[in-house]
Amino acid sequence: MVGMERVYRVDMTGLSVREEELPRELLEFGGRGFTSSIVSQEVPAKCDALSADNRIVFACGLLAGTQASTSGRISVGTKSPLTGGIKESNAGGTAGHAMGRRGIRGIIVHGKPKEGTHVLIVDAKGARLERRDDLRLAKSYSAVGKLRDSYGSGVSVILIGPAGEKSMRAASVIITDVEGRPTRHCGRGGTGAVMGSKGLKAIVLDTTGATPPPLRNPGTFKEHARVFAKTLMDHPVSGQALPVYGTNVLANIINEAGAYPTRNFTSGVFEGTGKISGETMHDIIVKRGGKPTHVCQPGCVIRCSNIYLDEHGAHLASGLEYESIWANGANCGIDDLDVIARLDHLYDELGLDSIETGVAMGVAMHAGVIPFGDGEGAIRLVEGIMEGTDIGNALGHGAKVTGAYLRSDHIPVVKGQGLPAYDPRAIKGMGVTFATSPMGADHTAGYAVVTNILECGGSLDPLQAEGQVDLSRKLQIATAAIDNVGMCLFIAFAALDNPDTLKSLVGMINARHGWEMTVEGLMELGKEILRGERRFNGEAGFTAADDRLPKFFSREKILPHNQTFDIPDEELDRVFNF
Amino acid sequence: MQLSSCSGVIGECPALPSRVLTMKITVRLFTTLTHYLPPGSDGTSFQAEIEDGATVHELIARVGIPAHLPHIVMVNARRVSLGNALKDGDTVSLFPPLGGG
Repeated sequence: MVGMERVYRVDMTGLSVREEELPRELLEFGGRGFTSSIVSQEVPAKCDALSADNRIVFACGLLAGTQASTSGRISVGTKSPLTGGIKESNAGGTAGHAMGRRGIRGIIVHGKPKEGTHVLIVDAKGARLERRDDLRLAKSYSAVGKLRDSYGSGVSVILIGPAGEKSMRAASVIITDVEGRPTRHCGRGGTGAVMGSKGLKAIVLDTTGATPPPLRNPGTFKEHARVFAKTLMDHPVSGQALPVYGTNVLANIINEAGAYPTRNFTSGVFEGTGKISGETMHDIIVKRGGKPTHVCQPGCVIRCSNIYLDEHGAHLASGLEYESIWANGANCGIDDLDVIARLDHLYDELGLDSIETGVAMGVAMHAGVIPFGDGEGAIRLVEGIMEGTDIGNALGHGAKVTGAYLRSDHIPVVKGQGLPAYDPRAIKGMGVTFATSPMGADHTAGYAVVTNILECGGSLDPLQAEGQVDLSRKLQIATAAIDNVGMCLFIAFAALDNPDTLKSLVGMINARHGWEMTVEGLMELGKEILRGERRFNGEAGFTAADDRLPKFFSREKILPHNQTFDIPDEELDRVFNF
Repeated sequence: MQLSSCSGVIGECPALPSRVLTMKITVRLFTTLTHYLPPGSDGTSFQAEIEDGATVHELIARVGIPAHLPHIVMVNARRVSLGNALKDGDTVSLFPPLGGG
């Protein structure tokens, strides 16, 4: 059938590629829905994440390749070597739309080669593997340069850095951005280590000659796409604050709320926030001739990314983001944006999760490896990850391994994954999400900050325990639904305040595919995805005891509110009662 | 109120406090609201004085910020509504709509 989407199955043991039609039962599943379906159906839950039995799955969303704003996220799913459970991590960049334009919903990689470094090429002729031992342990900028030389300057690349090849549990999967730089990361959960374990250095997507995917009702699609983009532009968060200040606009407000985790979660207020805030970053970027407003994926109207240059005008980071700035800034007592941007550049080069590595660094500083605030020391330690120093080897495996290596009793992880930039004692709704998400501590899984702090989609006191479980449940379901579409989560600000956002979103899906999906139907898919992920984790050995924050959050009070995390365990166990 | 506990007999009432007490409030402004910082501020905050018992709403009017601009209001790191009465020494943080993550 013309326009039928396809799936590639890549066998790394036999070094072969098979093309299949998109299975009928997966028709409505894109992004996280696709990856989590494949992982829960095809991966033995108790397998070693780095063995041939594991699969790594790449999927675009239901609107990839179309003109729909913000629709080009790419999901990577696998059994995580960091958490031991199911993992989906998504990013912007160019690969999601490139898959959509090539008519590919998913790429499923299994097996393990005897030897060699391999690259998957997807172009007009189909998909094939090529052996590229010259790319072994190449840093990502160099690897992308060589791949562009070989396959064309316009290709989109999904790749891993040396950290992934060394099977480090904090290793990311990197996606090239609109300038072709390796800067956007499916960061969380060590997906890069799984890709590395399969000898797959990169996937090159060449869209030469490709056209946007066919639309069942082009006129209707165009009208819904117009309304959808307008609701994003009309909302003050996605239309004004994010384009000007980027995601780091949050630094000041989370700090003012006493929820900005400082020095490995020992305070909720960082005295250096003014030096690393979104406002300060905006001024530095403008002064140096960078870009405060920048798209991370083609055609996005929100444009919350940025291009950060060093003091001499050389490129350091594209999309210096709130979470990265926090993890390597306040969390390490570092108040110098240039140091943070240099660390971010190293994470781009090595292919590391900027959150996990920053949280690991905070644990190392707390244990006395180097003092809090020692920026140059932090850079040396991250360079040690590449060089293979003892502490570098620990840091590259994330906060849990670093804490174990240093005999720390203050390790902020859930299911083995480092906590992101919100203290659960001061934003208790986030504590519920961190504790219970099947992904481990993940801020995107159910972003309670919206009503706990931002007065978006309602208002709930962040310090009260009541109501947080119901809020987190609602948000986790909606997030899984949005992740299924391949939309950026930042459509949620508009969606929470304006019903037209989700109506036009579903309108676009129906006009693209010829379906009759409803908003309620989309949310039901969100529930189904979460149930499948929970089922996988249960089979992998997770119990209710894994849906908990580390004990220190319920024992140690934090300034300025003098609060602990006090939501009872039996309440946490109600999150998935649907 | 102290007045209600007064016996009404002249000479038996305690001395009444002055009706207008001046409170010192630290006002902190962020993103686009920094345009309303007075000259000489540190780039984020300044000191304002206002009558005893004034609300956040009255403070915002006093310092010249259009009432529709602040979307999120915190007093001493707690989110409050505009009608909340202030106390001497409070820190008020004001934000327009914003989000990220």
